[in-house]
Amino acid sequence: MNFNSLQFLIFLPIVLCLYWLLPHKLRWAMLLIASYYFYMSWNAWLVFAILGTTIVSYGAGLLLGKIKKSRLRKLVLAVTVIVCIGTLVFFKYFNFLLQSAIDFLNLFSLNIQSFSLDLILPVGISFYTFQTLSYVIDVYREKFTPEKHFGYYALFVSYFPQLVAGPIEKPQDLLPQLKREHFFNGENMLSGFKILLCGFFMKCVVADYCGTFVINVFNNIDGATGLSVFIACFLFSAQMFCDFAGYSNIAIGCARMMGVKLTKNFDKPYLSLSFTEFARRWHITLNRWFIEYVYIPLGGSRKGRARQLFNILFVFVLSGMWHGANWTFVLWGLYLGVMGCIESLLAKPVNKFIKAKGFNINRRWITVVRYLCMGLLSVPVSLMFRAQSIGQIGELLSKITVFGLSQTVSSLGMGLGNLLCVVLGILCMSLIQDFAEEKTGFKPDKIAYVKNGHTERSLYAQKLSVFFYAVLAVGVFWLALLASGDVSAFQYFQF
Amino acid sequence: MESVIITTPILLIGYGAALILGVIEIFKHVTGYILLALSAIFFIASTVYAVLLGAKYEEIMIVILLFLFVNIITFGIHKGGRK
Repeated sequence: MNFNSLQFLIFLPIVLCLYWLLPHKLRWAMLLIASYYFYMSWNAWLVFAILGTTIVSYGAGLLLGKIKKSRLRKLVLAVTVIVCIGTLVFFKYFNFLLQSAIDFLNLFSLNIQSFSLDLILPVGISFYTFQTLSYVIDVYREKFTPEKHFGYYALFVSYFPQLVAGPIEKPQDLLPQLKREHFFNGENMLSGFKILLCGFFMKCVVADYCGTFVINVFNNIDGATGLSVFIACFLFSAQMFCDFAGYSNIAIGCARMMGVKLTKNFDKPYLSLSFTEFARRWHITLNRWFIEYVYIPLGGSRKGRARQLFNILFVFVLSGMWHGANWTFVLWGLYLGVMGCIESLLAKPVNKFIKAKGFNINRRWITVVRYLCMGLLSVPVSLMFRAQSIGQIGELLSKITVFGLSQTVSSLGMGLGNLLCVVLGILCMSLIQDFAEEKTGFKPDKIAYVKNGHTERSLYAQKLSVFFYAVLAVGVFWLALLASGDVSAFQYFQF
Repeated sequence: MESVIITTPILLIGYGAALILGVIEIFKHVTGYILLALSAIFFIASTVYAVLLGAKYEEIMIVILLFLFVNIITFGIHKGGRK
């Protein structure tokens, strides 16, 4: 059941009604059933994967709470990590690793036949595996007391708004909220709905629409030009951000309507002026996970410069591999890691130089140049993320010298009207986030009163008109894409 | 680009009226509901007529997004940009 499906538009109001009508004691059970139903709508058999991970991590948590001897605790942790990561590796990477091994051996003319298992990747396995590991490791570190109620723990693992594509929540943040009694709050409902609307806008109006042009280029490389590849990369960046951030907003909005606050997963990443800053603003919860459970335990920046650079590279490559079972993702992680290392190496000398020369780095033209540089350096990032293979990356890069405006237009399949839609969609998308996050409070009070020379009623009416046009845009786009068959699942579901 | 909206004067008048009424209310805060409601009525009527005349969905989308942009821009001015 995708978020942008008719089934979900029926599912959500039913769940919300039941949630607020049921007494607090029964809400966890209803949410657990709803979450498992949501998950089983993809493939009923896959529920055993998430149930298995839940039981193993729940048991490990209880054991770690009882065992005091540090050797035994380490053993329990190690076994749990191996089982959880092992399940993830088996479902996600088995065929990839097997094929890579066969390809490597065939380099020595062994002529081994290709072989693969017919495995279905459980939706969201990367997300819920990391979330359960976060729980087990925090219990091991005694940062969190083990959860004794299996129902609440199972709900923590399978909570439907964030089950299949994050945000990856820490147990300290989500579990207490799921256990706490929530009271109906109109402001939460309204702000949740605004964030939900923002998410649907990003997904339907921008992501899916840009995707229709990206696919034209990447599925027909022969007809592509350097400019069409360039534009497709930018459109893909918009598509990927709006798809993923859109999902996160829908998840945050749904949870907010139940009184649960999920962690913000994106913080205007395309306004970053460096790759390090980008990593802090993009998929915040995943980066937090890698920093807390991989980078810092490896030593972080505390064991010398060489070790720090290795740690940065290692974490980025792991992050790349987390995204998918393909060498393109490894290359993607490697590229980001190298850029991160270069920035780390250059940070001190550049700052020293700037200070010595009395240079003002905050001048507008310098910021514009930095944005342009980031934009250009990000093109390979999109290319590596979207391409199906290393060979395809090479093919697309070889198109750089191919010119031809009419060929560019036909390769993209994009006319002036389409371009205008994309530009307006992206402009509105960046503003609609501010509208969704607006903190002034939406008071549905029809009594007018004067404030600073403006009537509050007027501002309320303006907010209503924004709602009206945003809902209209989402509705029209979604229906048009449904009719053309171009509505796609969220991209990050495949991770 | 073949456009039903640009080649039909009555649609241009309808959308123009909707835009002017909306902009006056957004930037001058004159009446509250009335001008924005009128703007929405003009918009809906013009859109329905455009669809009946055979306007493509992309044309309709451009107009919707333009109106959304005009309505939402005040939020962007106050809250947008890097922190």
